[in-house]
Amino acid sequence: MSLFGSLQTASNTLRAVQIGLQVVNNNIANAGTEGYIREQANFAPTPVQKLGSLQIGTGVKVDSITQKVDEFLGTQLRDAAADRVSADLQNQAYKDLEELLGELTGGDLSTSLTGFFGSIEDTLNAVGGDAASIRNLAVLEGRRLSQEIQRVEDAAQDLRDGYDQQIAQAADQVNALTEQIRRLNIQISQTEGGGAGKSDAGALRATRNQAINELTELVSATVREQPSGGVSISVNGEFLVFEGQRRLVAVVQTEDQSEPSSSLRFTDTGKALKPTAGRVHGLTAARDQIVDGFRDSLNDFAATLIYEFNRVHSQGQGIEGFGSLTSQDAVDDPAAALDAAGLAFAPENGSFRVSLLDEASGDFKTAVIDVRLQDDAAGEKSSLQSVADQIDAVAGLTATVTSTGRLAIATESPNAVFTFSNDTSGLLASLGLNTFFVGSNADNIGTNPELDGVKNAGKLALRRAPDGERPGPGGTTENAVLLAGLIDAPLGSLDGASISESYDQVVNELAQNSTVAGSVAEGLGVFEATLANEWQAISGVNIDEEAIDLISLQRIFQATGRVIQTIQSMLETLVNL
Amino acid sequence: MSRIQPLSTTRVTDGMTRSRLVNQVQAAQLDLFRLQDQISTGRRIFLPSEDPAAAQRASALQRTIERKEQSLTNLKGAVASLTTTESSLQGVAGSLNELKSQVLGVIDTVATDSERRGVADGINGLLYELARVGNATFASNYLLGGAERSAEAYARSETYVDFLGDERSPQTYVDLGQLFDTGVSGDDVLGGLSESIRGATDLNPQLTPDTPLARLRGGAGMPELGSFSLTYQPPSGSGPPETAVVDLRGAKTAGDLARLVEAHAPPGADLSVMIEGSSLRIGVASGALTIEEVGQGDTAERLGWLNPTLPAASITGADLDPAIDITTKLSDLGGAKTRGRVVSGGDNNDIVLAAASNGAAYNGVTVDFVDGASEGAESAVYDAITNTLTVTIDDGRSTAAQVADAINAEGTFVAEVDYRDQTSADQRGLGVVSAGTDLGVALTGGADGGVDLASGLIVTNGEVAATIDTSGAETVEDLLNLLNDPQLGLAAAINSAGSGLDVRSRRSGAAFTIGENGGTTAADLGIRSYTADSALDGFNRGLGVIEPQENDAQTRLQNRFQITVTDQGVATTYEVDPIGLATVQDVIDAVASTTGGAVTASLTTTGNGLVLTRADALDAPATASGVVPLGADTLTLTADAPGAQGNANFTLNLTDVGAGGLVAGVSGTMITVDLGGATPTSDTIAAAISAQLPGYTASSSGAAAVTSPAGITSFAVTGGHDQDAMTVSGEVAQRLGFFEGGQTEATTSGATVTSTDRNPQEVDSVFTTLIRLRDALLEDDSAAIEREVARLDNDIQRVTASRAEVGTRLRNLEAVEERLADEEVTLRKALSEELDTDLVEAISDFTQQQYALQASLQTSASLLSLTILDFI
Repeated sequence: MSLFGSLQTASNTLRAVQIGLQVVNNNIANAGTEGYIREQANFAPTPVQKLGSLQIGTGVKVDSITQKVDEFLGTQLRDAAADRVSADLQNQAYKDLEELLGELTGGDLSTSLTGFFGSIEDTLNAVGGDAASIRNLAVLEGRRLSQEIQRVEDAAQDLRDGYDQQIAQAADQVNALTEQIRRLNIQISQTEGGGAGKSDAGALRATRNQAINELTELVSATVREQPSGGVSISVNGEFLVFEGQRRLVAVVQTEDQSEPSSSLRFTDTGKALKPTAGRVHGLTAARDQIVDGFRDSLNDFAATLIYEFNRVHSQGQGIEGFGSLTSQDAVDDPAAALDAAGLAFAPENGSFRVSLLDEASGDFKTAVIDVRLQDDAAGEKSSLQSVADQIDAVAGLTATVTSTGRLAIATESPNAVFTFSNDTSGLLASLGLNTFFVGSNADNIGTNPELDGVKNAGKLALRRAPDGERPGPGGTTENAVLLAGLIDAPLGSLDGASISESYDQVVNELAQNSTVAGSVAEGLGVFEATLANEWQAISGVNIDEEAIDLISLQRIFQATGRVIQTIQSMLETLVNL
Repeated sequence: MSRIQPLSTTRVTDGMTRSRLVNQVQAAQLDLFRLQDQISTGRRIFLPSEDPAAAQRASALQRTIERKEQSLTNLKGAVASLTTTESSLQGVAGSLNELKSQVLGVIDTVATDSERRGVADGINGLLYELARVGNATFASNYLLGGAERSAEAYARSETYVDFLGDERSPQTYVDLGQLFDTGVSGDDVLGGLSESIRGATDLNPQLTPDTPLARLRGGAGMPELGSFSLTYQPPSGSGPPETAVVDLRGAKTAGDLARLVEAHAPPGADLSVMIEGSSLRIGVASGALTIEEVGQGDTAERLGWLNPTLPAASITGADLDPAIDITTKLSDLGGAKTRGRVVSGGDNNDIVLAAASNGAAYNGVTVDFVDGASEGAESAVYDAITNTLTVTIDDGRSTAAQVADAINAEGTFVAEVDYRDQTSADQRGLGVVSAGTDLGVALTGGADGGVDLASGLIVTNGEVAATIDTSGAETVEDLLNLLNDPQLGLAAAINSAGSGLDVRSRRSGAAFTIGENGGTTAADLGIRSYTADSALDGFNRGLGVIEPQENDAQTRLQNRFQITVTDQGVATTYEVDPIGLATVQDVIDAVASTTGGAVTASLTTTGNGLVLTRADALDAPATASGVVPLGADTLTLTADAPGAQGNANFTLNLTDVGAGGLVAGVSGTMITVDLGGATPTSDTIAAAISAQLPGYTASSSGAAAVTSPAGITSFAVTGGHDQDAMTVSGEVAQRLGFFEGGQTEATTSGATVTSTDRNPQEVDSVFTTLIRLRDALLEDDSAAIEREVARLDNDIQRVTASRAEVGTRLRNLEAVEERLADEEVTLRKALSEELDTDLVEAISDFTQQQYALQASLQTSASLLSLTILDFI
């Protein structure tokens, strides 16, 4: 060992310290960079020199620069972020639905529902005035309610379509990110060469980490670093990226309930990408479960309203009867049993009555039309054709099944009209004969065009002839009492619940789910923040800490300079000897 | 509230510090803005999810408030309607009272015709005014029309006033679930519908496969039939018992029920359910059945099939008592039809058979199939004497459907192919039958009874008299069509019990009757206005038939009812005791007992009234004659004309005192014959007497010469009498309608005396009273005027009571309105508590958050400013 050896040692030290300073500088510079992982210069003594029996150190070197990162925590954080993103989206979906339903405001669906039944009550008021006008108002209120239900349904559908488009857009984002990660995998592997330090390519890794985070926020994924420094990313067991390779995903449209539904699939195998969290998962849940679930509930409510109201209405009589009438709904097969003929609301075993009134003579003729639909010893079930045949057999009436599968009934005399009553089968409501509403769900609910306008308001069936009386047209309002009371009448089809309770269930279910979704989103947000704190505690930069390192390196640098000065002095001494 | 983020236990980094501080500031600011929203809008929650429980309560409260507001609107409409009704009735009682005083002023004898006519004219004006009141409208609604308010309530013609409304009231919801009658019917105020005729007869409709279960038990229905358990015990040794549970939910008619039970028979059981009268009979071809309830159900008991212990081959259920419906066939009223099956070996060839008409005679009918026709040309013959239905078939070729067609063509029975032995619905009836005898199974249940539809009805209502032909009516509705012809002015409907028909008059001022047209149609339908049960008190527009006096003796004296029967000139008078006569039947019984059967009273078969019929044969008038000896012959003296006037006691003085031949003379009843010295023959003498005795003819039995005088011989000409006759007289007879007022008796030479209908029905209304009063004034009928004045009091009372009723309802509505107002305050308060911001709390929270944010910002600034860099 010589003075020159010492000089060499000092030189090593100065070089190492400068590198250390650069790492500190870099950390300080990125202290505010989102996702930046703190780096650390790892110093190590240089190899010793053997001098006789002595082992003499030769200084220090920078063994490696490593990123201060906890892989497990990173994975946890990514998972938590994916969960939070999904939960946030779902929460927002619920809030959007609540907004569009507008419950608790003055213009909500509930108010329209109450207003509609109120308009039916108005027909019972003597103060209402002219029967045709007040009846027409009730029809218009019914139309307003229908439009309000349709508005909510349309808005919910728009919401759903918006989520669907976002899912479709996610495919390009996923592909772009996997391409970026694939490239970075190659660069990192080439840069680090599979070294044990694993983090020589710190900036590349930070960039890749950012990309992975973005990807896992889109689709939750399992990320594993490979010995080469590259990462493999799989979604639900299917590899998306494997080191230098990646699989493309594409959007596939599937027809579900006649509405297109976008989903992500691997282009090579056609398998569906099924993330369990992340944005795509959140959007899919928002579309399929939240919005479509709400729409299903709304549809159920609308269907109940349509069918139950029509069932009561169809058994009543208006101020005037019908000269001819064609059913609003059609069957697929006129020869098929009516409970399997494609009607939205299947009728049940029973019968209904059709009465023919000769307005010239005042004579009535009532016929009972059987609707046989029970499984019994006779083994016969009524079809639309058999029902038409029974009506056609009534003297003075003709009935045919049209080419479109509708039942058309007409009187043979211009002086005759017909009415309906006592429908225990529900067939009139199923077929749309003498009904108030048309349609079968929230999307197509409307009022019967037969009731349009003041001139047809007399067909609003507010009369229901008492038992034993002839069910002719008239101005009494027994059926109006039943229709108005329907809002809170217990219904067999709802296991004793009422129409208003059915609507309440839609709102309450939405509110409860929304509350839960809000709590889940908040909980996941806190969890993510906690993990982010943990991550920051490990990988974040503390400037004070870096300043301390800076001072420490500065002191080493100063001391090393003093060593060189001393060596120089010693060398001068030697030279001056 | 700021989110709480746990601190790391290891290091604190700049990123962490920044993130925590940003989160805290954002959370605090979010809270502040939320509070500011609450304070500025006054709303505590904006989305239901912010407080689902409160939102649910608020939503319910909002709906309740909205509906109560509607109820208040309805209530105000009801108040307006009732107030208008009340005000329109305001002057009615006053006008009627004024009329009453005017009438009382002209009731005495000093009033002149013109004064009475003046009051009658006033009545015409009042009739017009009351018809206007009856048709009072409010917002296009006829207030007194009953439930039907869209058409006129009263229609006034020259003679009568027809009530076109009904007895019901329109209803509206004045509170949640609270229906309120918003009107009064004109029938309650002014009168409009007659109380009679309420169908008293239970028409007892039969159970048919089409009878809805909802119309059983007198119309109360048999809702929610559930399940019952059916255990089949096969004949001994042929297998273990088999049990099936039959669910009857979904069955709507008796036929549905039968087919469901048959479809769910236990394995091995050849089970059938048949209608028997108004019950359902369940049975098995072999073996026996026990029937139990399932769980706590009562289905088997309600059907009358509960048979839990002793197995039976057949169980006849309870009387299911179907109610009448408009579609009920008239042929299904009363009695019952024989029903059963005709069973052949093999499948698809059994027949369900039912008699086309009621009657026990068809029970056990023998059904024979005999070979002898070619396929497609089957024929049937029914022999009523042997009660045998013989169908001629093509043995082994004719199908059950063809046999059924042949039976239906014959007409005594109605046949349908049976589904019970079908292999599939499309094969039903296509199985062939073979010749055989007595193929019927359980053809029972027939019972006599029914409605005579062939005869028809005679209906009068005021000036309208119509004979209604019921022969074409098939259903109750057809009958109602006939009776509800607007020309007749009737309101015919099924009664509320569903057991019969009510036929009431709408026509005030008109007398209304329904009688027979030669048969029993009206009585069978229970709508005859004059029956054995008719109370005599109701006769003669309430005057009655018997006028009770202070004691029975006086009553008998003032209420005579005599029937004099003259038989071969012998008159017998019967005095029918008026004491205890209350109904027409009492009169019938009293006549029978008083006359000892010589005269019977019965209801007339045409129209209405009583018929008195003498029991003995009606004798024609007879001629008187007498015989007296005349020489060797006899002289017979015969009255020229039949009748009692020919009877007389004659004396024949045969002398021979003169000369110059035969001389006959008559003085009174003394016939003197002087032979005059001659010996004339007896026929010459007879001719001479005939010439002298007017009204009689004398004849001799021979032509022997009379040679010697015989002196004076008395003899009687007897045996002459008038036509048999019957005379009805007395006050009771007059009031029963055997003769009109002003007459004293009714006599007939026939076998019967018929009364007119003194029991016409009428509408108890102010219009009837006024019309009758007007007519009485014009006819100056003081008794009638007094009677109608008394009725006017009832009318005034009815109008006053109705006004009081309206007033009571208005007070009730007032109470409901006050309650609604109170409830609204409570509801809005409750809603406010759920939805509205508690400003004190919100402002306190806001201030607290403000301070927290301030503190957070200050400490953040301090934290961020602390760094080692300041010291190097």
